[in-house]
Amino acid sequence: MIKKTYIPKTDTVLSDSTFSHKNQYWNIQIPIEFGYIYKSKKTWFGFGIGPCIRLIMTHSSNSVIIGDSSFVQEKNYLHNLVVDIGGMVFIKRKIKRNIWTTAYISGIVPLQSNYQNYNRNLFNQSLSLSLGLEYYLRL
Amino acid sequence: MCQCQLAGFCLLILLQLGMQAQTSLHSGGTQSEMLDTVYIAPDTIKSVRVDTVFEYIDENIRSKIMKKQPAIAIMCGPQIGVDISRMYPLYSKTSNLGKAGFNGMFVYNTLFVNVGVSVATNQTANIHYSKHYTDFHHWIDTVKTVLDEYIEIIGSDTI
Repeated sequence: MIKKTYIPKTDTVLSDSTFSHKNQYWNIQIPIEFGYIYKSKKTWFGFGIGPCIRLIMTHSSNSVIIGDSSFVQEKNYLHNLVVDIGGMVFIKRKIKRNIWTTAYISGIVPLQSNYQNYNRNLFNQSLSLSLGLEYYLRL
Repeated sequence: MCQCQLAGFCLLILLQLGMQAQTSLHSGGTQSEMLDTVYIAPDTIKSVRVDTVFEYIDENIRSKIMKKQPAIAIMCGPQIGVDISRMYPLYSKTSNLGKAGFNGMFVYNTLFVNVGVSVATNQTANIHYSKHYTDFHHWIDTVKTVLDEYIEIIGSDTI
């Protein structure tokens, strides 16, 4: 007579992995804004709103190492041309006859910048502060 | 007598028509188009053409005329700054590298149109994961063990 005995066996495998990820964005922004200026003698205050055309270039870089194997480098380049809503608040101050200093605070509310290839809802908000010099030409 | 009165009346009408024509020639359209109208304050001496018409106005009307002229201007120049960008819901925040651009503004009185071109760059923080995995693999092996047993046969039945 043959008797069969079943013996369960267990094996254990240990492994380490590291994953690093970084995204870098380059945005080319073309805001077209309409607004109102409050003028005092040497200082102008204003605010505006309008469409903002953006070309968003995303450079995604992943590095994956599993166990003792060599790391895997993944790179992705994505380009998106989107139209969002932009708004700005500015102050201008006259320093010479035709030279003015400016300070802008502008923000972009995402309207179309939806990376549907990543995620269904992935938006890109932006808030910027910029300083500049401007030439004033009276027509 | 009646004919003399009629002839005199006609002559009077012709004279009046001639005078009206003469006055309209002096102040009419062809001659006034050649003249310049200059608004100057009283007691102001200017060198002007002979055909210039002087019209003296007071300061209140003059200031009103000056206010009616629209203030049209163009402002343009470079700008530099920082840009804070947020990709949600995937990344909560990014590190900011900068922004540079050129801005142009057309101003009409108190209204403006602003058009700019700028380049902004930013990057997410470097996300680093390090994980230790432990995998348990289970399986069932079959070990065959053969045991010899003696079978007692009782009777003549066929097994």
